[in-house]
Amino acid sequence: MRLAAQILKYSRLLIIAALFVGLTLASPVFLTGSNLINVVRQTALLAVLGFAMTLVILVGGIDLSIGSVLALSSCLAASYLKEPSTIVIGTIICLGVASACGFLNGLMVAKIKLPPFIATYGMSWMTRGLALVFMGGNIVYGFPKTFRFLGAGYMLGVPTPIWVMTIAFTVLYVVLHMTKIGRNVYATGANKEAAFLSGVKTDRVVIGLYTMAGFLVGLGALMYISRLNAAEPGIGESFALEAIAATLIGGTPFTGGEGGISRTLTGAFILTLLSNGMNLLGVSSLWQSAVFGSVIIFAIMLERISKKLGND
Amino acid sequence: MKRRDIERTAGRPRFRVSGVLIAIIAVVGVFSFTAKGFFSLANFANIALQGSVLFIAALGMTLAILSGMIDLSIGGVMTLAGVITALALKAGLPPILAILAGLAAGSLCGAFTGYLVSSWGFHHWIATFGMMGISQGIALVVTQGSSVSGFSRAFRNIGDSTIIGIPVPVLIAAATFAIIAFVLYRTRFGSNMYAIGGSEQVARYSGINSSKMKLSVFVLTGLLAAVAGIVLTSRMNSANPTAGMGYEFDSIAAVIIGGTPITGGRGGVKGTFLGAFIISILKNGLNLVGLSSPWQLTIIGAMITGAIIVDVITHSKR
Repeated sequence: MRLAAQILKYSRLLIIAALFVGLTLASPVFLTGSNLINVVRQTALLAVLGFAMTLVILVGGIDLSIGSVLALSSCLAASYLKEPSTIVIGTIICLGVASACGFLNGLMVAKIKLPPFIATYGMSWMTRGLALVFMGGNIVYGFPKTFRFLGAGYMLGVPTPIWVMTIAFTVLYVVLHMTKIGRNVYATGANKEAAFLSGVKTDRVVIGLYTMAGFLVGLGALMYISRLNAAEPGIGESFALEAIAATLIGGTPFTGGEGGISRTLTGAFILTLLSNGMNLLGVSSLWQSAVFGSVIIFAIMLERISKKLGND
Repeated sequence: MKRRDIERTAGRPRFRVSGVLIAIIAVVGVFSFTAKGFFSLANFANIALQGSVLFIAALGMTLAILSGMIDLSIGGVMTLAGVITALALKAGLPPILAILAGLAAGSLCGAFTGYLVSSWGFHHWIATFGMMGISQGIALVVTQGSSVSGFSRAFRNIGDSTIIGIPVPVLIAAATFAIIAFVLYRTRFGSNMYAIGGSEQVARYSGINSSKMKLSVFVLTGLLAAVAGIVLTSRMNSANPTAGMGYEFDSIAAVIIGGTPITGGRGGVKGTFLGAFIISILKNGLNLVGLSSPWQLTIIGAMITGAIIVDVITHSKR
């Protein structure tokens, strides 16, 4: 039993190792520089979206709207991002719109007390609809070099998305684990009532986290359309599913109060390896949503089993 | 609990229902003046047709919400059941067997979700969200991403024929409603659903096997989603691998607008009828007014979220 518990504790590393060995053996392309850089680049985007999801899951919430909010903020900002002189305005619009959507989600969850699944699902339909209305069937593509640097460029030999992700990670890590704000976040997630009674302004914590999640989605939007070199209202449909899968397989439980963004980084890496491997092995991309759905279920089963073994 | 007690605890049902009725009359009135061709028998028949699929799916959602749960996988399961039926028909199976295959697929999805919730202690949101991804994914994989269309006359009769002047989908919806209403109001199984929705702990202390109940509820929602998906497939004469997308949201809305609170334990299927009806009128009317489908998505999304917000506020103040 103890051995099993130990194995489960390191199960994420084992999964990564197994994927690495398996994919190296199965595909000659996997262990090449260009493919690995590709994997890391994709991990960076998924990790940023996963951080957004992790923040709200930490307080027992969820955000199903991240894919649609990403699409809306991209679409609203795209025409500004296309002109080199208005890139700054475009960036502000993108981050601002996404943060505002996050703020509204937070209000609905904390103040109106809507179940987070419902509030963010409603937000998801509205923002997707608005993105479609705004674009009216058009696509914006061909961004200037300065903007493409964010998603497709390199700095000191390392892809720019990695830098962006690292900065986001560092800031969030410091705030979550070394400040009072972070302690309040975990306290609210573990037991909202108790946190409130001991003086934590739990509503503000929740609204703040949803807003921050929105901001990160805006950041992800910039990274994504910069790499895609296009913005259209249909993008990001599977991102909520992927971000939830990354968070849960990383080891942050759905119930809140435990876990954190470093686990989500691991989770994002596992998920990206998985989809990269499927790509290389010629598995149709149609499989993705079925696989991510199964990963979510598998992750929770893993967590349940390790809890059970831990208690024995 | 007797039926009368249930209705008494159902929280001012008359007031809520009449509120929805007034809303329906108002919406019909507005569209009658603004939308050309709205106020006609042919169009009302059309609304009834479109509404039946949503109504059947929403009946399943009502059972889930009554029992204190939500099923986000309804749209995906509808799609999958439709696709399975379509592929079985294409493989040359007689319609009755193809339909059974679709119903079995839906029930299996529900059974798996129910197993995760009752035996593994999954939260119903995340279990059904995972199932949404899986069922949608399988539907895409087995159809290789494209629609399956063109069925035999026998199968298409389900969607586009009439019996004594009434469209068959409407009859199916009515029959389903009758069965579910009977189960809900006249059987112990039905009152147990209200009990676990009201308080699972209390229900368990009073001897109700709540995990078995949850499993059965999810099997039922899966089965009803499959019925809706098959009717939709027959009516469209095509199974599209994203056909069911969004039905879970519309169903939640139909249930909430119909007066069953999101917290469970109260309400019933009668209100859901009005809820499904008003959403179908809205969609139809917006279409006839000439608003494009992106606008419809936005407006209906906003109205539905608004309705849920109103519901939560009125119930928390009580």
